[in-house]
Order: sequence, then structure tokens, then C-alpha cells
Amino acid sequence: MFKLFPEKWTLSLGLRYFLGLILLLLIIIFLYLKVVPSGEATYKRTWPGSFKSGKGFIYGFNPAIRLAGENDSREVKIIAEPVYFSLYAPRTFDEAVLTIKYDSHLDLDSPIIEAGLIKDKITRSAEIKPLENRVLSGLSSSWLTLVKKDGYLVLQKKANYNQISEFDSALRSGHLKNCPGGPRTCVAVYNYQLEAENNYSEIKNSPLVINQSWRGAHQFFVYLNRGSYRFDFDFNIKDGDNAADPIKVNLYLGSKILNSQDINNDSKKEKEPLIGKKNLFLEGYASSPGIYRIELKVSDDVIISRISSPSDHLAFINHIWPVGELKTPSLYTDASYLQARTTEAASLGKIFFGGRVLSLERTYEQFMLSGIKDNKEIKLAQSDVILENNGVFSLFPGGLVNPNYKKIDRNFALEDNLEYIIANYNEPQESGRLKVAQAKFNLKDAFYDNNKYNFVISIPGLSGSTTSANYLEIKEIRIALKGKTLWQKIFQ
Amino acid sequence: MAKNFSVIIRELFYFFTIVAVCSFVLEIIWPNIILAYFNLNYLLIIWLISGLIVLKNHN
Repeated sequence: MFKLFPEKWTLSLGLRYFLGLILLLLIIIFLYLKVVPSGEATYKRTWPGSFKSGKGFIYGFNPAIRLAGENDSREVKIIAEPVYFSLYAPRTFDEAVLTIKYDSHLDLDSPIIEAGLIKDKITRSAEIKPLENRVLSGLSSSWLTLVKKDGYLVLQKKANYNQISEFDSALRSGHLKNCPGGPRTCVAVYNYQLEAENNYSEIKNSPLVINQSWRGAHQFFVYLNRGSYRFDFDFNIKDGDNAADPIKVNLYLGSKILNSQDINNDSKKEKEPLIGKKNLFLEGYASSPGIYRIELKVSDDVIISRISSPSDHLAFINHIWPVGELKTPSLYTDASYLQARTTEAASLGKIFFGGRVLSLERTYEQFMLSGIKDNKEIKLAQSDVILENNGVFSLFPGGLVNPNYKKIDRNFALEDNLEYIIANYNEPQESGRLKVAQAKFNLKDAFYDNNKYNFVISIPGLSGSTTSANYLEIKEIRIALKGKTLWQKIFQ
Repeated sequence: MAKNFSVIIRELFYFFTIVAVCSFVLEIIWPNIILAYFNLNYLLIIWLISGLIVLKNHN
């Protein structure tokens, strides 16, 4: 008969039982740390770090070229942006609160620090949250504060309103004081989703075919009248690391997704690339006239070779990457600045923006031209140049449709007609020379791969060198995660 | 005394062997479950040292 404990104990047997117990205990501890039964966990990393017995939870700061040191082991000095890092999370969670303690050595050209959570695997798009915005802080001290509560901040240039409820109802009705052109002309926002105006009427639309090729993910606004619509897209997929990724096209009205189509890899071999020509169409019925948004979620291995739209009021949002033969050498934008970069030496050269010259002198480096007020025409000499700004790009001046409100970003210029600012923003806390900022993220739809969530730190305008005195030094990152308890996971 | 020491070292060697095997199995099933907290290289070094002492005592 099996006896759990022997009658005669020897040193060897006693040790085996004792060490066996320790082994069992170790396995239970590690399983507990893996499962996180309470649903709450906090992971932290500080610099300069002390002795680390394990790999840790916050690591993988990259690309290394954007950090002052060789890697993140001794210090994290961000000299160019964006910088990505990973959080090892033993299981999925619902919410993350990221707290960063930092020492800022940033000059006036980099007034904004933001953190993001990577949401999409294909486009690496991120949900961006503010850590520090010195433009907004400056305006907070010079403008009148109407409300500042739980991050909700409303500023006004003059004492037009005394109560936030008055302001809110006037904003909803679209009749703000000192705002004859409507809210879009006098309200600026930051980290605040203000529903676009929806009082659009029927306009004269003509079909449009764009034969220019564009590389990678793009988004555009398009003005649709009430009635049926059909968009056609041709893709040319090059052989590359991401060629097996699906192609997805979404149609939005505001933030609501109305229609979606995709091309998936039907092959049994999951990673077999989708090389060659593919096409996709999106059709449906627009129940009201207005500005809709189309999102083309593709990797950089995909060329969008043709776009056929039912409306010629079509404008690309924030970013375009024309490639191949330039069929439309002139483009138009509604922003006062233009950022350009290229990865191809053959594409270096001059870009004309508003009659001024923007010289692309080196590859992989971003060049900017700002202060353009009228004639916002862009003339390209070569393709394969990535153009970016905070506005929209169109193929002709009449196509510029943009329902977005003016944003308080790095290139924000205070215009005379601007009267109100609405933001969702908490200023960082000062802790001696250091600052502590916090951002909250929803992890439910975040990209979670290999037990990792991926974050990004963005400092628009920061593109310095290792010798530059313009940098952000991270001293501590703390991420508090919250999710379902083990009990909820089992029974719900 | 010397006999007791060699027994303790031998049992520790067996223990580290089983801990290492369990750790690798857990790491294969759930990557980083242990590596996030503890570098298994340290365990391998201790295991190797204990193994060498066992060999020396055996001879």
C-alpha cells in the first residue's frame, strides 16, 4: 500500500520531500503570476536600473537609432521619434494606465509629448494620448478657463460664457458667440472627439478615377450624396515581409463603421504571401449626404494602383505616399505646413509648396516647410515621397473636404477667428526636476501578440542626433493593468 | 560530515535538474512565464556547479 510519508526518515529522503515542496511552491507561484487571479497587476521599470534577475516586463525600446545609448539597459534618452516599446503581459487585460516619469530637455520645436498603444498589426496605427502639451499649457495661462474638471478643459479667448452648460448647448446648436462661420472656424480641439457637423446638403458630385499609385495605408474623406455608392480599388502586392497580411477597406461616418470589405489569405498556408494584383469593391447606400471616411488598411508592401470613387470631393487625410509614375504632379492641401521624407535616394530633390522650395537632402530624414497661408499647391518632381501634415490632400482645389476641427498640435498657429479650445488633457505633475504624466488606454481592441502589448512614445518634431542637447530622458515607466478576475473569466 | 555534505549536494543537483526541466517545459508552453522574473542562466550555472561537485565526490 502506498504511504505518503515513510516510517524511517533518512537525510536524503527528508531533503527530497523538502525540496519537492519548494519545487511545488515555485510552480504554484509562477502559475499564479501567469494567471493573475485578481485581474490587477502593475509592472514598473526605472532607469538607471538596479540588478535585474529576469528579463522584466517593459523592454524592447526601438529603433535603437532614435535612442542616445546603444539600448535601453542603462538609460532611455529619446533623441528622435517615434520610439516603440513592449510590455510583457502574462495574459490579456482590459485597461492600462501608463505613468511616465521623465526629465525633459526638449526645446520649443518639440512642445508635445504623447504616448500611444498600438491597435493595428498591419498599419501599426496607435491610439495616441497626451502626456504633455506645452502649447495648450501656454494657452491655459493666457486664455480664460471655462471648465477644468477630470481632464475636460474648455478655454475661451473672451468671457463669452460663464457656464459650461450654456457653452455646450450653444456648441450643439452650432451657434457659438463670436463665431459667425460655425464652430469649425472658431473651435480648436486637442485629444477630444467633437462630432463633425452633420448639416450637409446635396452637392454636385462627379465620379472620379485616380490612377496614381499610392503605397501603404491611406485614409480619405469623401463627400457622398444620399443614394447608392460604389468604390473600386486595385491593389498590387509586392513580395515583402508583410505580403501575407490581409487587405481591409472600411467606410466610416464619424467614428461609426458603416461598411467593410477585405481580402484575406485563403491559402491553407497562413503565411503565404498575397503577391500580385487584387481588387476589391465597396458598395452600399448612403442614407444621408455628408462627409464619409474611407480607411485602406494595408501594409507597406501593398500599392494602391487605382481608386474609383462616386464622388470627386475626395481628400486624403494627413498622409500620402505617391509611388511609381507621377500622374498628378500637382496636389493641394488645406494645412499651412508640409513634412516630407523619402527612403529612396532617387527621390531626393525639390518639392514646391505654395511657391516656396522644400529640399529633400537626405533619405530617412524628415524635412518641413511651414508658414504657407494662401496658394497651398504642392508640386512634386519625383514620386516615392511621403508627404504629411495635419490637414488633407487633394488632387484639385475643389476636392478639399475636411470635417475635422483644428487641432492643437506642434504646428498650431493662433488665428484671429479662433475663440474656443476644447481638450481632454491633464497637465503633468512636477516632481522636482522631473515630470510625471499619465495616460489611460483601452486594451480590449489592442494588438496583443506573443503576450505583448506594444506602446509608442511620440514627440513630434524631435529628429535630433546623438550629440544633440534636445532629448527626453525617461526615468520610470509604470503600467497598471486591470482586467477580469479569474472568477469572472471562469463564470462569465 | 563529509558523507552528509555529499548527500546534500547530490540531492540539490537532482532538485536543480528537475527545476530546470520544469522551467523549460513551462517556458515552452507559456513563453516568458519564468524569464520575466528570473534568468534561467543563473539556474544552469548553479546546476552545473552542483553537478561538478557531485562528480568530484563520486570519484
